[in-house]
Amino acid sequence: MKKTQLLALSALFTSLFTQAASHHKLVFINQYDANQDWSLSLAEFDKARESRFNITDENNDGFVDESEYVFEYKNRMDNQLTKDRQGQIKQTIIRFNALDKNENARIDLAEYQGSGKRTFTYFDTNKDGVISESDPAPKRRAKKAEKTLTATQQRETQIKKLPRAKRVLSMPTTHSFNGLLTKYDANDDKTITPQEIAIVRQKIWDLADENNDGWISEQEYLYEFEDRMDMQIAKTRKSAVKQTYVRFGILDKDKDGKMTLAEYQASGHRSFNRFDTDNNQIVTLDEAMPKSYSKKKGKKNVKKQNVASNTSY
Amino acid sequence: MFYRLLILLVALPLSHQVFATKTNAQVNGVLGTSFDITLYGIEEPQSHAAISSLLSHINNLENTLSTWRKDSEISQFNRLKQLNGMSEHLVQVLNLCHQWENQSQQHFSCRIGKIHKQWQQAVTTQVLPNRIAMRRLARDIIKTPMFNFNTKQSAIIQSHIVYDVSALAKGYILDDAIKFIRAHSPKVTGIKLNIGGDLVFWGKKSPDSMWNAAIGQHNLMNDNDQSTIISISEGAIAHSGMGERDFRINRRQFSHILAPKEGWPIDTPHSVSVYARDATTADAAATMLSNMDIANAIDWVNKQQDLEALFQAADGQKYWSNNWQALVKTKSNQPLTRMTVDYQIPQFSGTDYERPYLAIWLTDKNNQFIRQLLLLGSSNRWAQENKRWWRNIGRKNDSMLDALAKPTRRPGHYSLQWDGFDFNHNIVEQEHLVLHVEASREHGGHDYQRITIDLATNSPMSLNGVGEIGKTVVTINQ
Repeated sequence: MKKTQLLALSALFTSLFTQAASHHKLVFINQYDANQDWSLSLAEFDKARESRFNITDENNDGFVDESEYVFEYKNRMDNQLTKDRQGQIKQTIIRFNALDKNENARIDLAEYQGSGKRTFTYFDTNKDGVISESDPAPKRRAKKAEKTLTATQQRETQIKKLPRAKRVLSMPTTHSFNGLLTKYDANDDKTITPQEIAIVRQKIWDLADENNDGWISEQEYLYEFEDRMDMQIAKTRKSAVKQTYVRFGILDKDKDGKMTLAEYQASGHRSFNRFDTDNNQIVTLDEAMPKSYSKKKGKKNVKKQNVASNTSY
Repeated sequence: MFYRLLILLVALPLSHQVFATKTNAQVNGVLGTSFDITLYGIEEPQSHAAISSLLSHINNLENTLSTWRKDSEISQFNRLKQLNGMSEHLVQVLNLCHQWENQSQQHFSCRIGKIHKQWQQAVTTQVLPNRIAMRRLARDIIKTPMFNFNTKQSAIIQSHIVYDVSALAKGYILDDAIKFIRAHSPKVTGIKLNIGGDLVFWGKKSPDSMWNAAIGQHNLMNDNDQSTIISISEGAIAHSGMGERDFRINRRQFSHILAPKEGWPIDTPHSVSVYARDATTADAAATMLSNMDIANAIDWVNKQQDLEALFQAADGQKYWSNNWQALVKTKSNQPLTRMTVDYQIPQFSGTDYERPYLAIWLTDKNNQFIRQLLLLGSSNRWAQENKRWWRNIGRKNDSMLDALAKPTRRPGHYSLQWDGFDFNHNIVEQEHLVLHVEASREHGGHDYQRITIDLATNSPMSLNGVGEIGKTVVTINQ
C-alpha cells in the first residue's frame, strides 16, 4: 500500500477514535449528570451510581447478584433499542424518498438499480470495471467551510450528537469495501462487478415486492428493512448480554457471585478517572479526551464491530 | 371436548389394519391432535376394546391437565389459586414441572401461563406486548418459590402464577397410556403410540426387530422408511419445531417458544428431536433444549444417560449429541467410515501471546462444504480473521459459531474424530475429501493448509504444518 494511502487511513482511524471516545464521554456524562449541566463532579457521579446500585438491588440485601445486574442492564438496553429502532425507521423512509426520484410514492426497478449503479461508480475509483482492493478509497464529499464557532456553539454542536452517541444498534453498512463484499460478492473472489450488484439487488427487490406488482411501495420497502433490522437487533442484544455477564465477573472482584457497593463504585471510579484527564474530580465536555486503549496494535484495533460497543449502558 | 371425542368415536369407526397380531388405529382430536396407536400380540377385538378404554382414560387425563378446558382441574387451580385434595396425576405433573424448571436453570417452566395468555391476546389485538413489562413478569415468576405439592394438603399459588403444563403433559400422557395398556391388556407384546408427532415404543413388534422412526419433519415421523431412520429397542422421541405455531403480530413473526427468563419469544429458534427412555423426559427435554443455545444444549445432552438429540438451526445446519449417530440405521447396517485428525497448536514466545483461532473443516473435491470438524474461538469478530473459513463457510452459516465454537486452546497436541456424516446428517459416500486447516492469532500470523483425503486408504496422511499450523495427521478408521 502506498505511503500516502497509509497516511490517509491513519488519519481516518485517528478521527474515528476521537469520535468514538467523544461519543463515550457524552454518554458517560449524560447518564450520571443529574442536574444536566454537562459537568459531572465525582460527588454527583458517586450519588448517581449509588442510586443505580440501590435500584438494581431488587431484594435490598445490600448486594447486586448476577441476575439483578443483567436484568437491570437488559431493561435499559431495550429502552434504547426501541428508540434506535424508531430512528432507523425514520431514516428508512428518508432513504425511500431519496430513491423515489420521480416522487410517485413508489420505487420502480430502474430507480432501485440506479442506486446500485451509483454505488458502483462511486467505489470503482480506478474505473477498471470492478470494485476491488486496488481501488483507491473514494474521495469524500467536500465539507462546507466550517464557521468559526464560539466555545458555547462548539459545546452545543457536541451535545446535539448525544442521540447518535447513545445508539446501540448499528446496521451493516455498504459504505465500506468490506461491507460491499459482504453484501454483493456472490462468488467470493473479493471483487465486485456491476452484474453482481444488479443480481443481489434484483433478489432484494423480488423479496421486497411482496405483492409482485412490479413496484415497491414505502410500506414494502420498510418491511424488507424491518426484517433485517430485527435480525440485527437480536444479534446486538445477544452480544451485549453476553458482555454483561463478562462485566459482572470483572466487577465481582472476590468472585462470590455478589457485587458490593464498594466494588461497583471502584469500577465506576476507574471510568471517571479515565475521563477526568485534568484530575480535578470533574468531568466536562471541554477537557482533553483520554488516550485510547492501546493493547491491540495495528488495524485490528480499529475494526468496527457489529455488536454494541456502547457497553456503558 | 369430551363429548366431541365420544362423537368422533361413534361417528368415525376406527380405521384398522390387522396383520397377524398387529392392530392399528387412528383417531383425530386426542389432546387436540392426531392419535395413532399400534398394538402387537393381541387379536383385533381385544385391541379395539383396549384402545377404547385407553381413549376414555386419556380423556380423563385431559379433564385433569388440559388448560384448554375451563372445567379441568388445572384450570380451576389457575382460576381459584387454591385447591383442596389435588389429584395424583396433577400432583405428579406439577412436581415434575418444578423439577425440570430447577434443573433447566429456567430454560423450562410450566408457570408462565400468564405470559402465554398475554401473547395470545397480543395475537388477537395485534399489539406487541411491552418487552420490559414482560421481563418483569417473567422475573417475578422465577423468583416465586416452588412448593412440592401432594394430594393431602391444600395447594395455594400466587396471583401471577398460572400453570400451563403443555411442555410435558403430552409425554406424561404417552407414558401413562403405555402403563394403562400393559395393566389392562397384559398379553400385549409391543406398543407404538404417536400423538401429534411425539412417539413412544414399548416391547417388540416381532421377536428380532427393532422399532424404526424417521426423523425428518416431525409430522413425517413414523415407523416407515423416510428421511434419517433411527432404530431403537424401546423409548420415546419428541420434537420441538420452528415455525409451526409462531406468533404473527403486525406482520412480525415471533417464535411460539417463549423464554421463561424473558417472557419473550426466543430470537434464534431451532428445531430439536430428542430420544429418551420415556416420553415425559423426551417431551420436557425437547421443550427445554429448544430454549437453550445449541452449544449449551448439546453439552447438557452429552451429560445425560440414555438421552440423545438432533438439532437443526434456522440456517439448515444440523448438530447432534455424541451418541445420536449410534441410533441411526445405515442402509445395510454397515459401520460408518470414521476419521481421526491429530493436530497441533505450535508454541510461540512473547509477552503479548494470544491463543490462535483454529478452524478445521471438510469439503468435497469441488470445494462443496461437507462438515465443520473444529472451531476454536467463539468471537465473531476474531473468527473472521480466518478469512478463507469466514468467506466460504462462517458468514453463510450464522449458527455455526454459537453451536460449535469451543474456547481457544494452549499450544499442544490434540485429536478430533469425524463420524462419517455431513452437516446435514447424511452419510458421506465420496471416497475423496479435502481437509482444510486455517489458523490466525492476534499479534501473530495467519496460515492455511489443505490436504486431499483418500477414505479408502489405510496409511496415515499428514501435513507438515506452517506458521500458525502445527503438524496434522489424518488416520482413517474403517
